[in-house]
Amino acid sequence: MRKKNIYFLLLLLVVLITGLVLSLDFRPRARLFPMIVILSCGVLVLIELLRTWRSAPHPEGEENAEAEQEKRRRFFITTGWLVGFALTIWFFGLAAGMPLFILAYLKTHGESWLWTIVLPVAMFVLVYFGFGILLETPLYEGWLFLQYQ
Amino acid sequence: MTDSIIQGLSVLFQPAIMVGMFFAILGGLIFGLLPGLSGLTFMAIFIPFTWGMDPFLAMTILVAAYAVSCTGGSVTAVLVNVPGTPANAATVLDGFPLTQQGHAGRALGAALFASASGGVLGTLVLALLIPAVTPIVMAFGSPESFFLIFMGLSFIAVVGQESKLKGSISGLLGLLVAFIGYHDGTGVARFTFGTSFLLDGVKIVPCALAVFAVPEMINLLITGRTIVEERTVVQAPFADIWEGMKDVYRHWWLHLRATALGVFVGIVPGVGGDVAVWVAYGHAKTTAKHPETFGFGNIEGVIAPESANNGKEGGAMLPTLALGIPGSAGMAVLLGAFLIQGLQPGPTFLVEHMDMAWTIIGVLVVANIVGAAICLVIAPQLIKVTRMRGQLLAPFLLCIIALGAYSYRNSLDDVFLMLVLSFLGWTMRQLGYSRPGFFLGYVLGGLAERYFGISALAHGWKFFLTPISLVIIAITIFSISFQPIADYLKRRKA
Repeated sequence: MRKKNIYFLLLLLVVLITGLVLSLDFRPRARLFPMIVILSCGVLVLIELLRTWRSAPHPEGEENAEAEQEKRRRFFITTGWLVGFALTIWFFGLAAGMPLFILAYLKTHGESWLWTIVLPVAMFVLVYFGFGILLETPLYEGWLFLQYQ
Repeated sequence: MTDSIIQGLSVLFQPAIMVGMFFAILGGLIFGLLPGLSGLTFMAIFIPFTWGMDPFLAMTILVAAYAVSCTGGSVTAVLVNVPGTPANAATVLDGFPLTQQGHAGRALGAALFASASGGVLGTLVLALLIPAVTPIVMAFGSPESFFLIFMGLSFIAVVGQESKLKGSISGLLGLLVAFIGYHDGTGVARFTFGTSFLLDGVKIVPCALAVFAVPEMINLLITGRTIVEERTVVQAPFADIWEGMKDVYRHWWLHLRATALGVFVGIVPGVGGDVAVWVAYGHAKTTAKHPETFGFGNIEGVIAPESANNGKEGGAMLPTLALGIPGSAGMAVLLGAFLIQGLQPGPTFLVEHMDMAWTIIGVLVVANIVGAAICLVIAPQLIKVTRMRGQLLAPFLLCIIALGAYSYRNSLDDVFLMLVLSFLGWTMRQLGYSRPGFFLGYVLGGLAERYFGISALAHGWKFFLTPISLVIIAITIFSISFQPIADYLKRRKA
């Protein structure tokens, strides 16, 4: 946790410095609030960074390290699914992409066919009939289907 | 006056009005349950259908749906950590931990009862204040609005359960996100990186979902467990719901204060209900006996925001009806509906259409009670969702959340932005940074800058020297220093 916090704070510092450099190009009235916030936040981030740096690292046992590794693996898999989700709805659109994502996720995780069919169908009904037809929301059709229009 | 009251309230007993109100309440609850949709969306969709409709029926349908959307939103906020509307964002902080501890019924009971009671009390204040509203609203210029927002900002460091330093960093990050997009005063595009999509700024629905809802879905996807741990003993739903309702009665003083804050913030045009809930939550935490339990399932953290978010509707209705000044986006749409019906809200409205004003008051009261009652009846069934496996629940909810982000502006970019921001939300969750503080900073940042700019231009550096501003500054200082001083005195006594 300590290491992760240090990396996060260093990343924040980079973001804040970038923000500060960008703010310098704004007109005085437009940069007043952002600069006050960036400078105050920068000071607090530095204090937190120093505090975290000085704090003693937790002695990590082998079990903890293994659990941590497993957690990290799962996080990367989940990130993959989220990226996949974004790509699916971009490629297939909302009405087709969302049920497809649910179907793929449930089948990959060994769910029964009952749920694997019921949930995607329910999602299709909600998106297409609920939002598309009833609420007349202009649904994004997806890159694939837009090519054929 | 008495004739107008009787005439206005008797309209509520007409069969067409009763049927219309019932379906509008159902619609409002469903729109509140779905993230991204709200009472405002319902009104925007339904307004074209009110053309040629009886004005009383049209207003009944619109007001009833709008009034109960926050009540519906509290259900998903408590059960699955997804705020149905942005005004339910503060409810997730303690409502969801209560659900995880097996007290979903208690949290729902408290949230729904506080919503209904807050809505009714807010409406009663509306009824009482109608004659006095003009001086109140006129007394609130931009300096007073700025200090009201400043009071909200003062809670940044304390709304989360994390360390004050991390809370402040989170709040300032939220403020920074609020500055993305066009600057009101100069038209300068800030931190948009050349994209046209960010010119309008980061919108509230994708941001709320990214900070609170998606990180929880990521957690469910990673663990694959149920929302409530399988070993957790869940109380009998109705007994637990009843306990939650009694909690509101036990904390009646907090309930009254939070409702009053909601009404007060609602009256001030341009501040809005999203601010009211955070001010109420911050106030509840800073004045609580055990502020350290907030964020871990303290029932007071459910009662305060839920009292405020329904109470604010009565307050927001005041300047809309009496002055023709809409206090929020929802009220602006409602104002449009009035104009479609050939009614002109403003000082003359209360003279010429007093009966309509009383019908609206009656609708607000009935809708709040019926809306909460419907939710309470179906609550035991809804609670079962917390026992569903994360593996089943998370992908389905993720799609609904994405649909919510999309439908806010019908933009896929909002979905992508939400997913990107959700990694910040997840990191903050894992490293113990304050997500509520971040969101509070985000909600208030743009408003604070806008009102500061107007105040400084209009009144110069002495803009804070108005009586109301000084009173708000005093209340802010009292709120911040109350707990530390009380703790210090306790320690000294011991």
